[in-house]
Amino acid sequence: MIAFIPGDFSLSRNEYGEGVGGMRADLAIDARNISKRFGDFAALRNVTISVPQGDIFGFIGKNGAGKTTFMRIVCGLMQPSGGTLEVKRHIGFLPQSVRFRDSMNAGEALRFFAGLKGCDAQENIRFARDLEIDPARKINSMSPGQQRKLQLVITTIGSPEVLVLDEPTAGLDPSGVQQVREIIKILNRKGCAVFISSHVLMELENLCDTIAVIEKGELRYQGACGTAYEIETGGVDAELLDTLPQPQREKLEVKDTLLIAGVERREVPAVLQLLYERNVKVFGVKRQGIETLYNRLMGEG
Amino acid sequence: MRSWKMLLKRDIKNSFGKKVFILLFFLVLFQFWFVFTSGSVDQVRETGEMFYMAVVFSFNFFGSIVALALHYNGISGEREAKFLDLILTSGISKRKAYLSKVIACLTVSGIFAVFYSFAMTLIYWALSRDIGLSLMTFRYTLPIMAFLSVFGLMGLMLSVILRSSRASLVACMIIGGLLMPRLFVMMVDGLGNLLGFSQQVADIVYMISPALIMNALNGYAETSRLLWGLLLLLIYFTTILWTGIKVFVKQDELNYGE
Repeated sequence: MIAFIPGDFSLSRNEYGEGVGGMRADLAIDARNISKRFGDFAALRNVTISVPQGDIFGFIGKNGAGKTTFMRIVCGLMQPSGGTLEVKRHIGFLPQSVRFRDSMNAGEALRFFAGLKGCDAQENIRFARDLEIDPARKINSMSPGQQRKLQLVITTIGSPEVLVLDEPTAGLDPSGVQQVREIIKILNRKGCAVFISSHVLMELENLCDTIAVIEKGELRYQGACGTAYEIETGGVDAELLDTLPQPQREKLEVKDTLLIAGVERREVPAVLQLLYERNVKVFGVKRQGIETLYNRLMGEG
Repeated sequence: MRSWKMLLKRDIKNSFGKKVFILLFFLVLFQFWFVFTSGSVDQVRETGEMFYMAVVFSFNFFGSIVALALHYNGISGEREAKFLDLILTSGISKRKAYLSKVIACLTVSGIFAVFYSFAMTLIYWALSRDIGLSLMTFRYTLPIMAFLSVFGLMGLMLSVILRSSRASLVACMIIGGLLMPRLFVMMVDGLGNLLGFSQQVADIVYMISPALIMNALNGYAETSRLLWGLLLLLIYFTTILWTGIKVFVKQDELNYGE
């Protein structure tokens, strides 16, 4: 049963209600059991994702895993086959690789989209200038990086509450990537929730508060970027772990000289204390990155 | 409403690309060649009637393809560029986006028809120095507009249904070819022989080809043909528009251009 689908394909965000039964104020996107079928092929299977308002939320998966399909459903460009979806009223969407067919200049493009949204473009033109985009320059003559930045500025017109960005840094040079990352941070500081997909895991690690991993249309993980800590030791005897009390023992795993502790940040000192008491040398502690998490999840798959 | 007008303005502006003027020039040139070599001016003078071929001979062959070529990628092109995604997530509904394209198509057809008629007037004036005779070419302005609109909207509809510009172009070429009056009349005659059409029925079936509707609307045809022409035109417009909008609204916007 689809309780709330954005816009009944009118996609007119201005006409949206706040969702059936009222959406939780702390959530920007609340998708429950979203499914999408194309004939016999299930592109999404009961995907449940909640994006808190003000979060930068990373969405990871292989090509064809269902990331873009989910994002398009969130933006109302596709109808889900099942599930319920509630999204904040004002949403900005940046698709992958937009091409401008018009012979517009950057300023005209910004005024055009501001006009569509019924807003004034001045603020966005200033924003574009801050990003070194010349409003008088024809879009077709801009570099791909400049065009991508302009597209990002376009999606921010009308101060959206949620930004959905589909691989925003694809095809950009390192400085372009940095700038896009900065823009995302600026927008997030203004209170905008950002839902972002990317294949560059390091990029998401630097940006995101929370991530979700999707594989073959199924959600494999949703939570913090890293859920475990790697403690580099001088060597831990597996038998030593057996001497630990059960709650801690379950959360620890030995890999050569590494001790993988699947604990919360606040529990790390207690683990270190246990090791210290058992004369285990500790050389360093670091949180496991998205890459490790991703590889572990894919390995499980 | 203001935001929709903005979209409409852009669609109309984009519809007037170089392509329109190149195709217009080509049709005018082809018609000029026909008028010049066939002695049309003398025939018009003798009969006092600006006959069909004297003005729209070029449309018989290329008109449908020209109209389809102008609009075959109306929606699919924007989809492939993902520009449509930006438009649809900017508060514009699919209905409004489609209607904007439709109005742009009708506007281009109208202006194309006026320019073409004006060019014909100039040609006839240059060849006859008779302003009254030359102005008779404007009898075809509305029929040409109707003809171009039918094919233009058909192109737009195909660009929605087939999703891809390439597939739409191929389909447009096939349909444009099939509806070419010469070929279409031959097909109807063949079918008529098989099914035993009377000439009266065949005359009406011929008019499925929009070029022959155009012939019925030039003001010289008898009333019944004129009415049949108008009815078929109405059927064309409503069917194409209804199908285009219905399909477009129901379609998922996939990740095109991947």
